[in-house]
Amino acid sequence: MNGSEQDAARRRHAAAAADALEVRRVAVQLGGAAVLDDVSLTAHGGEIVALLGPSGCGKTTLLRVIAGLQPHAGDVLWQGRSLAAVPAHGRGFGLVFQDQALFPHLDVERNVAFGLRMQPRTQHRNAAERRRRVAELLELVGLSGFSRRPVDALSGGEAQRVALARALAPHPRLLMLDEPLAGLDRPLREQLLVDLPRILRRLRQTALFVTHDLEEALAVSDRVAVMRAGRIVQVGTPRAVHERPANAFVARFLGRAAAPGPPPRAPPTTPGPRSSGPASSAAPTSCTGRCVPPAAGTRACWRPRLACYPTICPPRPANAAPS
Amino acid sequence: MLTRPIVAAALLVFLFDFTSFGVVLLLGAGRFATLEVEIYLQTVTLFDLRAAAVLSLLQLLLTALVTSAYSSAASRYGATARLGRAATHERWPASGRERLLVALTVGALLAWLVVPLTALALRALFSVEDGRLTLALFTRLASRPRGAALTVAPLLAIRNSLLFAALTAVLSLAVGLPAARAAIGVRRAWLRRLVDVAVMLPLGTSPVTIGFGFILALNLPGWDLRASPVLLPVAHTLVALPLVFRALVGGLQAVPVRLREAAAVLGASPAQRFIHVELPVLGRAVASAALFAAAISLGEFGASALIARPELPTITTAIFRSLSRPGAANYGQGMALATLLMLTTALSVALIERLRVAAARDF
Ligand SMILES: Nc1ncnc2c1ncn2[C@@H]1O[C@H](COP(=O)(O)OP(=O)(O)O)[C@@H](O)[C@H]1O
Ligand SMILES: [Mg+2]
Repeated sequence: MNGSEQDAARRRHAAAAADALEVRRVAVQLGGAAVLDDVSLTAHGGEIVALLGPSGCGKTTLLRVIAGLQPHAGDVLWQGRSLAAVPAHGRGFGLVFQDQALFPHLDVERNVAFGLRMQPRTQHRNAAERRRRVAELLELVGLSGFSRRPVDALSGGEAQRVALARALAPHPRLLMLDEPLAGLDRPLREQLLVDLPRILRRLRQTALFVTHDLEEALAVSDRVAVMRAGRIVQVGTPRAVHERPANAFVARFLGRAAAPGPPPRAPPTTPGPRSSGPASSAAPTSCTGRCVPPAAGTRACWRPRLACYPTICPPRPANAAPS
Repeated sequence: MLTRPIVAAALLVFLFDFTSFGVVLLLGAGRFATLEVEIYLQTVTLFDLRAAAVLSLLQLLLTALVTSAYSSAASRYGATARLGRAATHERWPASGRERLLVALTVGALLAWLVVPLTALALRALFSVEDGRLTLALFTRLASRPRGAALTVAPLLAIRNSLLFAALTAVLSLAVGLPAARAAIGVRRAWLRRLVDVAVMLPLGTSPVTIGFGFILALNLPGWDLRASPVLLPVAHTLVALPLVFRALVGGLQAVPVRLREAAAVLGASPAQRFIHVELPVLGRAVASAALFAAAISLGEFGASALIARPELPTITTAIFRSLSRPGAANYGQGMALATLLMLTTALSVALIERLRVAAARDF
């Protein structure tokens, strides 16, 4: 990690306590059906929140609402201020689309530089500065030397990384990832499942991570919001959600029998227990992608559904440096 | 399943035929006059503008009806939306019977199209007197032979046509791009439909009627625009607009919504999105639309026949003048010009086709 990146990360970290996304009672109707129904959600600065739910439950729609691409009822706030009057291109958010949506007429470098060219900040005013920033990001996602490649010559995993670099380049206040690992083959998925949270934590990036896959949610996030049919049915740390599913649906979705144990602490649709500190110590109990492979080999960490959690993923030390 | 597209195609053919002018004027020889030829004759030879106006109105009414029928048939089929993806459905004919059918169709089309055109080229290349291969007719284009029907050297007609074609290309993009963008961006369905019919109307309205309208409308007191050389490219733009518009709308619809949204989230304003994403992705579609407009302008005759000034002839009006006067020199000039026109048009169509296929491959 080089100097400027560290600076950016430090600045972000300092503002972390204040930075916050709040989704307040959002509802969306599409084609006469309620796609989102009274959805509320928060994310602290530097926090990675997973949106977990079966296909068609409205996860993508919620991201589109937050990005400003989808008309809706209710409110989206950033640092307490409503974004109702702010169009998508003024929000300063980043979104990695499920299908990447790389620009076919631009090479890798120009794709990544696109956001820098559209919102010229003083530091990226000239072409040399932009090139430096692009090189920095390509290195971050492990694609140094790919600058001149046309994007249609990329593999699925490479395209996914370029999309990530493109979204990160303009220093988004919030990064949203829509099923970034779906559709990748297994080894690649496992690789990215380790890389992605590492990159996000290194930048202390506030992020929403959409997935329909439990393992991904557990591996990547500080908190998990479980969605079902347009509603959020439970929010909590991965461990809390895993150990105390709020209802039979969550339990079934998590692949467990209905919770016989103590009742859930958090009622549905309200945020789970919040921690007091900033991001690095926000979720001492979560699996943060530093999941240590068992002696048997890396794959064993992911293949048996749930088997590795929480036994293999150790709680992260409260003040451990992001790897 | 195919009924609608077939109906739409039939209506389109009807529109073209209903307004075809040049062929009828030359082949009909006064015996088969259509509405078109009648309007032209009333205006040019009899100078009965009132009769011409009544005929034009009649034609406008009929074509408006057919155009709106076509528009609804085509839009329900979604023809424009699927244009860009046509290439993915292409395949080689599989069975023997399929191959025979394709061969017969292609053969018939070739005979129909190529025979008259080849005859034309042969006439232009071989001397009438001794039947030897010669380029004499072409070399003679640079000068104006004695007793020629044209008031200028034929080569100038070619220069004029190329100039008008370039202007037409620029003008139709200047009008067509905003119109196409609006037709897609507008939320209300009825408004979209209105733009569609409005822009498509010139397709059914014949070039002759358009030219006639220009002559009537631009006779302003004190400022006679009819004499302006810009008039012709403007009229050609009107003729080309429906086709350019269709091509651009098809191209714009083929730009994935995701790309626009991705650009927006990355901080691009609507104007930046149009310039940095839509136009470049559309690049080939825009280029082929421009070429299309130029090709239409090159071959346009109906409006040109009414508007073109004698000292600024286009290729087509020069051909017509040459062929309608007696004399071997005139005849030869007509042949040579027609052959050149054919070559230029064939070249642009080949280019357009290459661009279209390449554009389809982009997605
Ligand atoms: N444009 C649309 N019109 C009508 N229904 C839609 C539209 N887009 C999405 N939907 C519906 O909304 C629901 C949620 O979609 P989505 O947010 O994409 O779900 P997810 O991302 O969780 O798979 C689905 O049932 C889908 O069919
Ligand atoms: Mg989705």
